[in-house]
Amino acid sequence: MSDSTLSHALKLARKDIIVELRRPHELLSIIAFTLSSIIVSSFSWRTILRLDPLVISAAMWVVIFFASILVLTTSFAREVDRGTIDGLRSIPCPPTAILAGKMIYGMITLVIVLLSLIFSSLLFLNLNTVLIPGLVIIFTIGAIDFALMGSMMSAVLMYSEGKNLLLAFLFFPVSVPILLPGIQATAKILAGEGVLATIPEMRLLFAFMLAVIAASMLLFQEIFLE
Amino acid sequence: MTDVVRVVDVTKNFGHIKALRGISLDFSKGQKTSFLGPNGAGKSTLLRIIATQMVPSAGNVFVMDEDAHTNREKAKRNIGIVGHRSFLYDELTVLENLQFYGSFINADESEFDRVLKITDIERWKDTKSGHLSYGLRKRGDISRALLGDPPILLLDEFFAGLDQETAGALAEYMDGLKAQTIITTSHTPELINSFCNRSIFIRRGLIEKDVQL
Repeated sequence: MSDSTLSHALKLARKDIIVELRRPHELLSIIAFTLSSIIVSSFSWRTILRLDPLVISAAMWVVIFFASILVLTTSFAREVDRGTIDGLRSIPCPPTAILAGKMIYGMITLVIVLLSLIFSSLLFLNLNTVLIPGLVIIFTIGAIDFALMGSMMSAVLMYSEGKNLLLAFLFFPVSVPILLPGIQATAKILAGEGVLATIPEMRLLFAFMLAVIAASMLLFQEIFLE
Repeated sequence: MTDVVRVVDVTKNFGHIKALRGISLDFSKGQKTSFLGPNGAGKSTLLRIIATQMVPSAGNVFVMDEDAHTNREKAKRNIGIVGHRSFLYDELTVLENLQFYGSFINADESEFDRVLKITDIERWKDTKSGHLSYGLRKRGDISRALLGDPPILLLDEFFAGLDQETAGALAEYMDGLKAQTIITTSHTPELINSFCNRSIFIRRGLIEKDVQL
């Protein structure tokens, strides 16, 4: 990505973040969903003395998966619904800058949500604070993967009728390459195996990231221009 | 006069529907042209193809003598477009919207002041676009389209949804823009013809009439 493409993408992401902060109810409702999911899980698990790390990991990734759907379905759909998508098309910048802007916005929003997930897990699932750096690394890579893939899918489906429903349905099968290594890596960290033990899973997450970036570069221009 | 926009044998198909059937047109500097015709005639499709927002099935569009669809970024710098829906973000003020769109063409504060003055919307520059009336929002959109002083202005269904008084005021603004080549679409010719000097009637994707006014 060239410097100018990146600077255009950052301007677009900045605009999306300002717009989001001026109508914060969506972001707040996603954070509320994250908190309540962890609290409800803690209710059912309070009598179990030692939980399998895979169970906690799966619960966390279910939350991440749904939070990603909620964040990313609106990415391009809102621009289409408001008519501002033609405004984006009128901007003299490469189409990939528009997609990159949406991806950066998605990443930042998801990282905020994931921080609330880690914070609530510390409080309600009695996680050891030593585990935090490892969780932050894995969740951040997962958030980047979800943001890249979700933004691209949101663009592909932006003109479909019932796009939000379609994205929710189609999001699962394409999320499997993120969910499988993500759950495994998180379980390893929760089991105290350390970040180095998760390198095989991280490789898979990075490979998926590169595949999505390559597909986006090839396809987005065709999708973006009618 | 020099041709600033040339449309050469442009065709656009949507599946089996032929929206445009080999349209060729030239637009010279300072000319103000209206595309007239019934709904579905192909007016907006042609405008969107000129704006490089839509790819033609066949044919070419040249903006300032360069193929617009192979040099989209360059073409977009020469084109200001006002859609029938606003491109302004509700949550941003008029000035913030101008700053956002202007940041891609390195527009500065003096440029924002200039375009706000042209459309007489300075008083509302710190108001969120979502709080503006339809007419004021349209003026905000015109200001946005005028950023960077583009030589070509494309206006899609420009007067749709506007009351007579606001539409008349906007027609006056448009009449005052002497440097720009303006291409506009409408199915109501009365106001459009008050500032246009050429009318092109389009029907079923073909040019029916091309009249100098």
